[in-house]
Amino acid sequence: MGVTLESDKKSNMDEGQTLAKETFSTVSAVPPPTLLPASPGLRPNTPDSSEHGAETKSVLRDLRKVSTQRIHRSERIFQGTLLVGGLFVLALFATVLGVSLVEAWPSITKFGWSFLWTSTWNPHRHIFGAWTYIVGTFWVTGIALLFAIPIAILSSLFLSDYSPKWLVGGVSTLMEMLAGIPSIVFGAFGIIFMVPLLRDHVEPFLANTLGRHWDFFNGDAMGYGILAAGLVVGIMVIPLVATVTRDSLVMVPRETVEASYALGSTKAEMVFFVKLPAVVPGIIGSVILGFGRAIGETMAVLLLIGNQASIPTSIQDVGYTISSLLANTFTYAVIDPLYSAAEIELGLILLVISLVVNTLGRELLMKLMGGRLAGSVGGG
Amino acid sequence: MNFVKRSFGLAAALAVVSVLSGVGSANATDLTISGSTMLFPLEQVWANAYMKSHPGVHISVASTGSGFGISNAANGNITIGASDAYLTKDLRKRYGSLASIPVAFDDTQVIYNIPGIGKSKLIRMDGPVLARIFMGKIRFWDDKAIRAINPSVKFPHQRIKVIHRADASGTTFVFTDYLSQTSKEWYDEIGRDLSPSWPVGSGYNGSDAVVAAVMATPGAIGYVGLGWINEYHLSSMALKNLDGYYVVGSVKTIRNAGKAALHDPTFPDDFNRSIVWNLHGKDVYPDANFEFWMVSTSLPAATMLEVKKMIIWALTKGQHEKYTVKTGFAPLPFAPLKPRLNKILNRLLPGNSLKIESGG
Repeated sequence: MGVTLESDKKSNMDEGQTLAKETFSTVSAVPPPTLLPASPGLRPNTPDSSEHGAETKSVLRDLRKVSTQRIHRSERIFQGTLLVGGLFVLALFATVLGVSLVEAWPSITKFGWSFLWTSTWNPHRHIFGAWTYIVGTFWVTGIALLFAIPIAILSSLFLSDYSPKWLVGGVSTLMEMLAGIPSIVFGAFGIIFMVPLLRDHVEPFLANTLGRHWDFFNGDAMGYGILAAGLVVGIMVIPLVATVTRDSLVMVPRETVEASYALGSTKAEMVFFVKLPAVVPGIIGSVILGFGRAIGETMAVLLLIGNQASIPTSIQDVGYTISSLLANTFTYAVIDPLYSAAEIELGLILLVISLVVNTLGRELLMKLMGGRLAGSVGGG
Repeated sequence: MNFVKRSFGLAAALAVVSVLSGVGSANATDLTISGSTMLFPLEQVWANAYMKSHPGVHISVASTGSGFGISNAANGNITIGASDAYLTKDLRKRYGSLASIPVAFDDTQVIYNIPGIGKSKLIRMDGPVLARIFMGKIRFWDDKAIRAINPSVKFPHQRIKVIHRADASGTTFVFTDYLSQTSKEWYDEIGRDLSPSWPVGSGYNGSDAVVAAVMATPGAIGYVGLGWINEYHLSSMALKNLDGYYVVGSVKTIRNAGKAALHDPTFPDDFNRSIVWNLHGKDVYPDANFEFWMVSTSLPAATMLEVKKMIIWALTKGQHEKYTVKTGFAPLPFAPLKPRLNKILNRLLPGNSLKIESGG
C-alpha cells in the first residue's frame, strides 16, 4: 500500500514538472505563469533587461542563477526526503523477510520441503511439520469465504439496486464501521454468542440431519472449532467483499443497464444477467483480498478454533491455524533455536501465501477493473 | 521553500532526541521482572508493596510466559525471569549462568463438568487413568476404569471432552509431569512439557479460558492452578499420591508437599527437581510445584545487590498470606528452606553479608 502511494505521488510530481517545462518552452513569448516559487520578484524585469547595460544584465543573470540554484536545491531536498520514505518501506520489507529467513534457516535446512507435508509437530522430539496447521488455516479460510461471499454479494446487489435511498447511506456506513472493528471484539462476540448457538442448536441439528448420511457433519457438539472460527472470520470478510462488489456495481455503465431494459428485461433479469456478470472480475478480486484477510486472522481464530493440532475430518472438529499457533506458543518457542526456527518458517509460509494472494488480487482488480478500484482496497 | 527545510530539520532533531531519550534511561534501581503468566499476579502485588516500602526502587512486571522469562533472564534483557518450571538438564546446559530461586508454591488440579454429578461429590482419580483420558483412550465417563476408582459414584454415559491449555504454560508442565511420572504410556508417547503435542481435546489460551470452556461444555475435563480453583469456587478431583492416598489440592496439602520435599536429604540444593509425585505422606498433594525466579549470575554487582534485597524481601515479608494465598499461592515453609536458600543467594553474589535470617 505504502509503496504504491509513494510512487503515485512521485509520478504526479513528475507530471507536474514536465507540464511546467512544456509551458515554458511553448509559450516563451508571453511571460510564463509563476509556477515556480521565488521567481516572481525577477520576472517582471526580464523584458526590459536588454535596454540596460551589461552590468545590470550580469547582475540579473547572477541573481537568477542563485535563485534557480536555490530552487533546485529545495527540489532536490524534497525529492530526497520522499526517496527516503519510499526506500524505508522497501528496506523494512527486506529486513522482515531477511531476518525471518535467517532465523528460520535451521528449520529450513533440517526439514527441507518435507516441512510442508509433515503432519507431526513435536517440540519434545524435535520433529516439526506444517501440514496440520496449513490444513487448519485453509479450513478456516474456506469456511469464512463460503459464508461471506454469498451474503456480501446479496447485500451489495440489494444496496445498489433494490434498497430505498435512505437505507443505502446507513448500511454502507455500517458496513465500513464493521470493517474497522478490532478482531478481538469479534472473537469475544464469537465466544459469547456463536459458540453457545453452535453447541446447543446448529451442531446438534447438523448431526441429526446431514450427519445421518455424511460423517463430515457429525461430531460431538462443542461450539468451539473450525466452524465457529470460520463463521466469525467470515463476518469480518463480509464488509471487504461487499464494499468492493458494491463499488463495481455502481460502475456498471448506465447505457448497458438501459440497453437491457430496452430489450425488454425485467429488473431482476437485468440485475442477474447484465449487472452481475459485469462485476464478476470485481467480485473475484475482492474475494482474493478477503482470502488474504481471512488467512492471517489471529486473535478471533485463536479464541474460537479450539487450538488442537489435529487435521479436521468433520465440520464440527477443532483445529489449529498457523497464526494462532504462533500467537499461542511463540514466546515459549524462543528457548529452543530449532523450535523457534520452525515457528518462524510457519510465519514465512503464511507471509508467502498472503503475499502471493494479495498480489494476485490486486493485479486482477487492476487488469479487469481498469485500476480504479484496486487503489481503494487495502490488503489483508 | 525555506520553511520546508526548516520543518524537516525540526523533525529530524525531534527524532534524534526521542531516540536518545529512549536509550539513555538505564538506572541502577530499575528492576524488570518478566516471565510466567501464572506468577504474574503475585509479582504485581509484591512489586507494589516493595516499591512502597523501598522508595527509589522501580520494578516493572510483565507477563510474557516462562520460556521468555528463562531465555531473557539468561541474556540479560530482564533482571529477573519468572518461571513455573525448574531448570531441566537441557536448560541448565544451555543457560549455565542461571540460578533458580523458589519463591512460592503452586499446583495443578483437575476440574470437570459431568452432568448429574454435583460439586459436593468427591471424584477420585489416579495417574494412569487420567493419562488414558487425556490420550483419548478412555472416551466415556462411565468407563470401567473410572468406575473402579469411584465405586460410590454413578457416572452418566457421556463423552469425555478433554480441555487443555493452548499456550505454553507452567500449569501444563506440572500437569504433564504428574502424568509422566505415573503413566508409562504418557511418558513414552508425550512426556512433560510446557506445550506438549496433545493427542486429543481442544486448547484454550490461559487458565480463565480453560475454566470457561470446562464450565460451558458438558462432559469436559480440564486442569488449572490453585488460584483459579479458589477464585471460581471450583471443585477438583482428589489425585492419588505415592502412598496411595487420594488428596485434594489446597494451601495445606501443597505446603505439605513442599515440606516433604525439603525434609528429604536427597533433594538437590539448586531445587532442580520436581516435587510432583515422589513424596511420602498422608496429606501430601502429588501435583504441587515450586514457582521460580531465574537470575543470571553475571549481572553487574550493583544490580545484583538490589536483586538480592528484593529476593530476600519476597522470601520473607513477601510470603505473608495477604500476598501469597490471596493471589492463589501457598507460602513457602520457612524453616526447612533457609539453609538451601542462603546457599543459592551466596552463589548469586559471593562474599556479601546479605542473608535470610527470619521468616515473614
